Amino acid sequence: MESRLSLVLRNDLGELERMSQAVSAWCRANAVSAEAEYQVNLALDEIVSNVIHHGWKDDGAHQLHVRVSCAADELTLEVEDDAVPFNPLEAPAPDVTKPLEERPVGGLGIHLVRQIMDGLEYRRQDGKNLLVMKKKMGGA
Amino acid sequence: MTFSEEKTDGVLVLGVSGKIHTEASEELLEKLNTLIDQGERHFLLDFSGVGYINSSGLRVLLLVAKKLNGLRGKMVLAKATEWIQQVLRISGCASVIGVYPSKEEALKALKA
Repeated sequence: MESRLSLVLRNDLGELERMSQAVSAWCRANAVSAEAEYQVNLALDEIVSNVIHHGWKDDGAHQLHVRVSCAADELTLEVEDDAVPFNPLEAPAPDVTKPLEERPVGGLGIHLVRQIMDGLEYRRQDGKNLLVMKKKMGGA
Repeated sequence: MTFSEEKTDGVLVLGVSGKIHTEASEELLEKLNTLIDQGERHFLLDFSGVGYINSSGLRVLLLVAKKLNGLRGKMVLAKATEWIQQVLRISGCASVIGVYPSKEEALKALKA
């Protein structure tokens, strides 16, 4: 099964719902399991939200590119943007073992992405951030 | 996002329905803070109608759990779907906020 979804999003949090609907529809059309669909939506939600919130210092309109594809039972998610250089893989992991009073409330988005995706790769090229996430399908 | 409320044995049972994404998490935070301001201290969140939660939603749950802890109150969750339970587990939220398969078990845990 080979198929590819390609989206261009504005840097507007209202675009997240459109992305979610497009990704869910693509997942259903490509027989992606309900669990993987949730995880793919969650990973893209977290990364794209982060870019829209923190990626640009001006009030201008910007674009992000999101691509989802599947080959050889593995999903590949790509988020590409011309925001400020940011490698989410370098973000410090929150300590999720601390007791409630000391538990951090931030940093959970990238922590979730690291846990639910099977592979993450970041590149800065041609003035753009490119984050590539991989998810194996079929089995735990 | 929609809410339903009922009181059972001093526990505010809040039914939550919809997706707890970034925007909706603000509504949830406002709702819970209003109820706390009204004097409620023990909460059972019925998550049977919740189809999605992201880190913004988790952040709200942690903020409210911490606030209630400081007020000698408590919050538990019940009837979360399998994917939501997975997110609660891997984020570490499930180790500080009790997650139960039924309202009965959740109410029992609150009284313990």
